Amino acid sequence: MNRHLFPQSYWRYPCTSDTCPFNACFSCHGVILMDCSVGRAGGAGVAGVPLNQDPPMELNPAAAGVAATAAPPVVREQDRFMPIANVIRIMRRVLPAHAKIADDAKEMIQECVSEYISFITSEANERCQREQRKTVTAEDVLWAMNKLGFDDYIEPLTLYLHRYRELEGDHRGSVRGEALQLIKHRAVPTAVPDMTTPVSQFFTTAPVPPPNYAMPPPATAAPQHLNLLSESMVSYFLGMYGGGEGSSASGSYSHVNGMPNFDHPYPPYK
Amino acid sequence: MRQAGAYSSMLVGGVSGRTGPHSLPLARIKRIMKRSSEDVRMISAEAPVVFSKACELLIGVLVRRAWAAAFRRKRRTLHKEDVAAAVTNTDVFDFLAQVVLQQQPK
Repeated sequence: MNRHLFPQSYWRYPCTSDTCPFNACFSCHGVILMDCSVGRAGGAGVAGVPLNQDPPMELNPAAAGVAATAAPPVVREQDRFMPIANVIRIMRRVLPAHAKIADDAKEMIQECVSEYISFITSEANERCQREQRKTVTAEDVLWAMNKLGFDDYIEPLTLYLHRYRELEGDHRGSVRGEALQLIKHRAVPTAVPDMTTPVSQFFTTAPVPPPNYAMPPPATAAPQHLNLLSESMVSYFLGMYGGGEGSSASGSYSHVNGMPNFDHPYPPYK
Repeated sequence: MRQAGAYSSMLVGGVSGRTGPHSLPLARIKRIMKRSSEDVRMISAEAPVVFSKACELLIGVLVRRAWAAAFRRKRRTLHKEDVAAAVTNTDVFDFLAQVVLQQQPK
């Protein structure tokens, strides 16, 4: 097999398994799983399945048994976590330019994101099962977030979803030039469709002003510590956190509902 | 020097929701959703779209609070202790406590 056909990452990990029938080829590395004994047992994309459930045809039973007890079920990192580069990009967007991020912090955020998705999905899925539906919809997800205390996210997310639907609708059966037109529209604020319609109609709960994330949590900050900050430092700090009325973004949704200014729902409309 | 996000921010949110650059890959989100429990059967196409934005918001809040913790400790580098502090100081993030505690003793 020609190794140049495969991306480098596929043949970076040589197979160490004696039982691998594909020892000399690269197709079992990366394509299915790094550890081909697990990969063949679990099948493509179903990592983490216990080995003995589906013994591979190519392996003799004894060898498969040894592999099953020795190797813990391997779950590929790309099945569990968001790509680290994307996570870092989002983190950097929030942090000031001089901030550094330690690797362990990046990994922890990565794990938190996965946990968050699982947490919300299980709640949404429970609701689906109660109502005997098979498909987890966006509304279920929003409902679950609302229930689990992420009600501040509902409004920006609903707006985002509306926007997505609008664009999806526009793009169905449209010609190619439309994408360009959309970008042009963004340059002219007057051409922007009115997105200020109340979106809270989906949710019966009254919009409660959420805690102001724009400021650092004051509970643990000792007063004398605050005194150490010079005025310029304080203003820098406030500016960095987009706090108070000082920040611009007139008419931004993030201000309307008291959300922190961390991210505009629609950056093109800034 | 090109500023990060000068071009991409123009497109965040997607020219088309389907093809447009979501900042987190939808397929990956869907996979994690499916892994969350075995009886997740079908997932509508819009659910990962919502999550892609929700995760951005989550990271935003988490990192902001973690940075505040780092700032309080007079550091300019975000460490996992700061993230842990952000999680433990915020009620909504209680479900992340286990993730944070698992990593802490190491």
